[in-house]
Amino acid sequence: MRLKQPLLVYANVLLLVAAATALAAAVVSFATLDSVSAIYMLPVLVAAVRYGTGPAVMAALLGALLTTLFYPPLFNVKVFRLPQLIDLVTSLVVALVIGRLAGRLRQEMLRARNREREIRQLYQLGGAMAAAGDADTIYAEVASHMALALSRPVIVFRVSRRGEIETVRAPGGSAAPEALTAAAGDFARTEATTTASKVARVDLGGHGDWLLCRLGGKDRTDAVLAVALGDLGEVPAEELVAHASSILAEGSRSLERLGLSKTIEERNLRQRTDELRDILMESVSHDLRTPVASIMGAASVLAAAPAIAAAPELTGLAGAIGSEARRLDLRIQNLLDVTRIRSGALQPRLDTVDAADLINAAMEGAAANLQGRRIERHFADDLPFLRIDPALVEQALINVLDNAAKFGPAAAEIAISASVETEKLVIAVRDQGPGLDAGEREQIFERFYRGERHADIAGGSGLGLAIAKVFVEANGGTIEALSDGPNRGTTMRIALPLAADPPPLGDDDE
Amino acid sequence: MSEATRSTPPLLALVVDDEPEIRRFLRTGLEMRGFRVVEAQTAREAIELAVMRAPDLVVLDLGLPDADGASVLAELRSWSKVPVIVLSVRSSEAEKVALLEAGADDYIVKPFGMAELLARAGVVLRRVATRTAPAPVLRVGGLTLDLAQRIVSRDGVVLTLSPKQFALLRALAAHHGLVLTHRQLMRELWPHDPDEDVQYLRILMKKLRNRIEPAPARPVYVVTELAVGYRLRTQEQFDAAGYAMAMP
Repeated sequence: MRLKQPLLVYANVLLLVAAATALAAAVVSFATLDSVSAIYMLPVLVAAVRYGTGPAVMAALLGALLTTLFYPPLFNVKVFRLPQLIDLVTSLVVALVIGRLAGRLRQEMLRARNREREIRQLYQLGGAMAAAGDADTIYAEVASHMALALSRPVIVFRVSRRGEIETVRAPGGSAAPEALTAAAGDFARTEATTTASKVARVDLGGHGDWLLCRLGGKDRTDAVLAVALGDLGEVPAEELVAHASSILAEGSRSLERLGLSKTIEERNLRQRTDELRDILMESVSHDLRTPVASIMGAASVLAAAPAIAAAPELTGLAGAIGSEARRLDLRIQNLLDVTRIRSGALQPRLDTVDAADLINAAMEGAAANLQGRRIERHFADDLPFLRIDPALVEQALINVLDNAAKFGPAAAEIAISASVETEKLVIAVRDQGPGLDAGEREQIFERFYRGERHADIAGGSGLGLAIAKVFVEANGGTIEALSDGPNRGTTMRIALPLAADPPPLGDDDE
Repeated sequence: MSEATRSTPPLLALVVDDEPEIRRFLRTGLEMRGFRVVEAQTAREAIELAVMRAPDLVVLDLGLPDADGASVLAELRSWSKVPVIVLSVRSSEAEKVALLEAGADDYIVKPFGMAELLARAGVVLRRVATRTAPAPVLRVGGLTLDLAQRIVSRDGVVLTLSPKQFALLRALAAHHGLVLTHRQLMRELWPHDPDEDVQYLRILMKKLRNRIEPAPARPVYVVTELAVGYRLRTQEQFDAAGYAMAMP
């Protein structure tokens, strides 16, 4: 019931009754009326509908009093008789019933109006948050909305990933009381263990009552809003909590949506990066290697041209152009391999491969660098089949062989052995180069590592063994460097997984 | 290229590549060996020239601006048996296999030297020349194959082969010097069940090598193109590999 100006209301009731009296007087001067009580029902009805039960009762009492004026003899105030008593009771009943009904109606109307306002505000909040691009904007929107809706100051605490709490918004620039910060922190942490409700009331003694509200996604708290309850007044606490909860639900939904869109954005970014990398690799591959292919091809034509073939020093030059071009191509391949590894684009395509075929192919691939070297082969008679990506492991072996050729003395032999050891094929490449000390055994597999003693012997990008290690390990193998010490040679041991037992060959009986 | 120089008129090579510098050295290198050369930069030009000029050899790059080389090959193969050598890039074994099965006669990986390409050209051209009448006896190093008599011998010693092993060797000999993919060989050897496990073929190959190769772990006659297939070397390929001195 909203009675802002009760005096004015009762004055209005008086006016209404006076008007009814005037009307009754006017009517009785022209015609006889058995009872004017019907006319006095009018102010009761109007007062009940417009002002409620109290004013209606007043109108009823006044009306009952005044009807006595109209009982014969007219305009004489008399003592109450039975008819007046009946009029009074009837008016009072009408006043009470209609007043009650009208009051309820009015309350319904007020509630409906409030709800409509809340919905409108929530709608506006939803709109504001749909436009919010980051969590802090959402906190601020929710807080200012709640402050407006509940007509109370709201303090915002942000909860970091590690559970630390920090004030981001306090009305009037005043700092939040420490006790409140601590309570908000506790509130944020409790959720981790229990599915506590979104809202809790705390009594901070000297700092008054506060409503703590949780804002966040499904299973975490992003922020805590503290609403100063102070004097609750006539608004019931449950209504306030319900109102706060609906605002929080809206805010939390927005936060979740934000998290979701962030994830989508990150994925799109990653996808674009992948595409960009593929395009880059393809174009680098094409743009760098095509000229190299032209140079190498042209050099090979020159080397065979009759005019140049007649002059050995020119043939040598043409040959050098060709072999340098091939070296350049291998370097480019190394860089592309590293790019592929770095970007996680390495996906072995497993195939069954005869171990002997693999080693032979690698030796052919490294033939240019192995030229003139004495190669000693110690192969078991019947090498098994391997389950590997042949292209990757072949490249790894080529890099290891190149390394051996680079660092071993030109006159010394390179030994290659292959044998099965505990369910793995072990390929060992031994050189008689500068060897390794304990620390170097690990370091040589790092990118761009080049040992001091080794750098004096041969140059290189320092990528070959790093690539070999990644390629071998991507195939479920291992690679390690063994050495008896500096200047006592190096052995590279590569262990590779065997293929499952081959099916029996039925139709080739011998 | 003795074939090219001896033939009158000289053989015509169609070079298909969109890179002018690649075309330039291919033209010079091929002309030095007595070929006439026509050049195409695009897939459309390549097909037009193949129709108009009926080349004896096609050198086909895979990366063309208007279509990929594979579609040129497919188009060409729908009406022509002209030998095709594909120019490929490294680490695309699956692509090589697909092209060989689509009818490419051989491939060469960029970057390459002219001598390599001419050697491959020689092999594919000889195959065309002998397509109607295959040589009854093949010789590679110490290995002699008498296909008509079904006799295989090494250094004068007759070798015993199982029927399947002989069939494998004969299939390779029918494409002497060229790569046959696993699938192509499977179709040849197990015509009723070509989708059988490739492992059967690998094991059969191991057994064949145990019979014919002097050092089976390091084959010199039937060599493996890793992840692609097998090749029975020609005498020239055998000599170029320089195995005579490397034999244990």
